[in-house]
Amino acid sequence: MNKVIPQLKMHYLNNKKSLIIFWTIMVCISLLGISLALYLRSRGIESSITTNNSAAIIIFAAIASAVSYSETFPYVISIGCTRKDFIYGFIAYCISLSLVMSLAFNVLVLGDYTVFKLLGFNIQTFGYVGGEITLIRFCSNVLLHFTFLAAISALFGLIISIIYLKGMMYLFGIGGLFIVSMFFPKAREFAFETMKFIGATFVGLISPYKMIGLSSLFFFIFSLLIYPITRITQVKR
Amino acid sequence: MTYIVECKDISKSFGKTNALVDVNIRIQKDKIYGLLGRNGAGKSTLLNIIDAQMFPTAGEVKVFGEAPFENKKVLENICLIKESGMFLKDLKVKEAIYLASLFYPNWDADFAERLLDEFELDTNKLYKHLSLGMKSQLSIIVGLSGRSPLTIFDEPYIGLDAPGRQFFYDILIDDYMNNPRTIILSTHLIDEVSNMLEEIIILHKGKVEIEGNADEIRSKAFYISGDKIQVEDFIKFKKILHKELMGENMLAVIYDSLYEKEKAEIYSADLTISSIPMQQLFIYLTGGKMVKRGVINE
Repeated sequence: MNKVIPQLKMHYLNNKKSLIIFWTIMVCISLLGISLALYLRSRGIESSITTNNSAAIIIFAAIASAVSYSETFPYVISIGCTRKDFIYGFIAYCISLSLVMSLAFNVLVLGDYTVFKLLGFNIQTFGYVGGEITLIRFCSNVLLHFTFLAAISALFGLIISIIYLKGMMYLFGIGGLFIVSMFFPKAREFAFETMKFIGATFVGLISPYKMIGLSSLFFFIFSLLIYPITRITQVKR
Repeated sequence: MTYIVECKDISKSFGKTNALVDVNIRIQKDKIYGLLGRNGAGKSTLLNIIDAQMFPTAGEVKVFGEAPFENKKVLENICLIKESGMFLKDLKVKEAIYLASLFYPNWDADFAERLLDEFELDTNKLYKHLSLGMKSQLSIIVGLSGRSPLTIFDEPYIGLDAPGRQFFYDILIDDYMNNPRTIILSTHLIDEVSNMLEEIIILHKGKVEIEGNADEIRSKAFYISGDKIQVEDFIKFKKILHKELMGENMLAVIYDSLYEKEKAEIYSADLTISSIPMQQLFIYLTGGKMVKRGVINE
């Protein structure tokens, strides 16, 4: 466990630049959205405007965790750490990244919301929020995004750990098996129900509390699965 | 005798390729070892297995008396510096040094600073923007400043020019005298390092060809030349690495013990005996081609 803090410092140094670039783009999108809203209003159009949405941070978290796993695994193992040390560090990184991303995103949304309000726009205009942002709502949104991002980053860490161990062809094989399984009605039904659930999650049809609970559960499961895979993984030549 | 590394019947396969076959080696404490071998001989694979970065297909490895796999106590005392580089490409030199200082328990920050100054490395440069030589310099700084009880250099200095490599050898010897530890140098620049090696392991096609004290190995390797019949008579019970005919004369390369009595016989028979440089011996042992007097000999 005493190798977790050095690893978090390593992840910070390794990701600092991409984080800065990402959030600069996000802030620019916000400013562009505000400018666009003002322009449209001057033309008499006041439709719903969504400046930032969570898809961007989900994609970033997925890519950042996948890249971090494949880049830092050989480094950490070659600098005197065990695979268990690496997993602790990686999970701690997923948690930290998700928390930072969630906080930054919700602060940005709050900033957008405040600016739109000060400029005299209707709350309804600001599509993403669609209502008053209270302290409780802000906190629950942070928690919701945090757990969901943690689950996503652990999922992509798991996927990349399989690719690192077995190669891309192995994943294609799993994909092929999935397609074959669709010939069986029960499997097809299960797959469609799962996809419906994921779709409902994305459009917010599932209660935030259920989402937080499920995301936490999946984060835990994915994190547990990464360890046995990483334990048998060799550093590539 | 204290052994830092013990490999027992280590084999390693990649698909149908056997990278290592029944490798048995023992590495003593506080000595400088040379792990020599041609490209693809299995040097890097063996070193990766010692550091638990790879797993052997068969056999057992012990480092500091324990299995290295998932063994924190063992792994934090090994520093393996690779030719391919081990650093994160988006880090600055100073960040790479800083991170190394967090992971190696015996890190010597003053020594790292001194080496940075001596190599005149720009600490604000990103690793991915460094030249091959600069990457080698950074690897050397980390390897030496880590002061790990087992320090392994897997040809990281290959990117340095001749003066740079000489500087590295000088610093290595100087630091080793002040802070004795076990050092393994994996290389094929044998002539350059042969004088600083105390022990030598030669790997060839995944097998240990020779393992032993460098001086003892040198003392067993000879050229014997002279009249063909006399040379042949003398070498018939010796391990012959190479023979070459030049008219009525013969040049033989032997790798075997030579007693004083036998040496006296050679001189009295008017044969010529001379020692073989380590690099030449390595070439003969590993079956390389040599250009000699305009002829390529197997």
